[in-house]
Amino acid sequence: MILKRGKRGQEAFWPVLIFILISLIFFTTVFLFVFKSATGAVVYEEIYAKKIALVLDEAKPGMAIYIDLTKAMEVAKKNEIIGSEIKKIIEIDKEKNFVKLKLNPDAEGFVYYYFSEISFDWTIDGTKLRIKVLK
Amino acid sequence: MKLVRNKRGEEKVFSIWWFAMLILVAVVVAFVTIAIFSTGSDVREVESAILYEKIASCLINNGVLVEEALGSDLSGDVFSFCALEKSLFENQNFYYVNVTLVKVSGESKILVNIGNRGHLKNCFATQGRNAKGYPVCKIQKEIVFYKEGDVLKRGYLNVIASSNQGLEVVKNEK
Repeated sequence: MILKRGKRGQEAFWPVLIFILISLIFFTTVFLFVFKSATGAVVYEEIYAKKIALVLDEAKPGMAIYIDLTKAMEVAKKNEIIGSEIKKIIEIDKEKNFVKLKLNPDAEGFVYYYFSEISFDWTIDGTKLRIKVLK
Repeated sequence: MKLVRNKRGEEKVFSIWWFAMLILVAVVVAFVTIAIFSTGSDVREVESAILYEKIASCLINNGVLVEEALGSDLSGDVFSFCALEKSLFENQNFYYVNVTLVKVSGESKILVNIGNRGHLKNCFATQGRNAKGYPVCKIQKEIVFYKEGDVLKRGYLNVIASSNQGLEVVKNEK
């Protein structure tokens, strides 16, 4: 079969190809923007800080609580927080009663307060936050 | 009016409208994305429910009002008795707790009134509605037995617990 193309057909080919390419680049950029916004450090800082604060509000003496931090660790590593620094992504101030999550070294981090007056110890054990409530 | 078209009647692949549409789509997507992710997750409802539970379970033991928490002249330290961080209630405007005992006679007595008192009127004003910038409150009645002399009488506790953490609009009215 011989495909015959006239001048007009060739003229239409390039604009259509460029149109498709520009559309692809545009929609990929939009998708990446939405994806980055939804999985960014700011979102996870807020989620984890609130989750830990609420857990501390509900905690009762004698409880041992484990919170999975896998996602937070991934985001921190993506933002080049590695090695011993990874343990510093969480700050719990027992005097001022707040939890601070910082997954981006250049950002301020997110702070959320808990109202319970409890005594507890906490450590980061691998990808888990371990809270042992004393009284 | 005459519509002018070229002779071939061909469709133009690129046009100013196509670019305008792309820009419009990008602006809308950016606006919606920023609007969704900048508001964050609202956990005040859960927080006020936890605060409510903490207060109610601390002041009521087997259906009887725990008088030690309040003291005979209501000067008892409800903060330490119910394990609440006093400085947070006094220095920050996030929380409010109000506990009122309503006796059989209909007489009512405020037992606990701590935190940001500005929340009180807003709790009633926004009851059952999600009002932006206002505290989220949990208001509930608990049937309780209280001592009057040596007799146990039946009444109820009206408990209000509210949180406005992260959305501070209402000023502290102490």
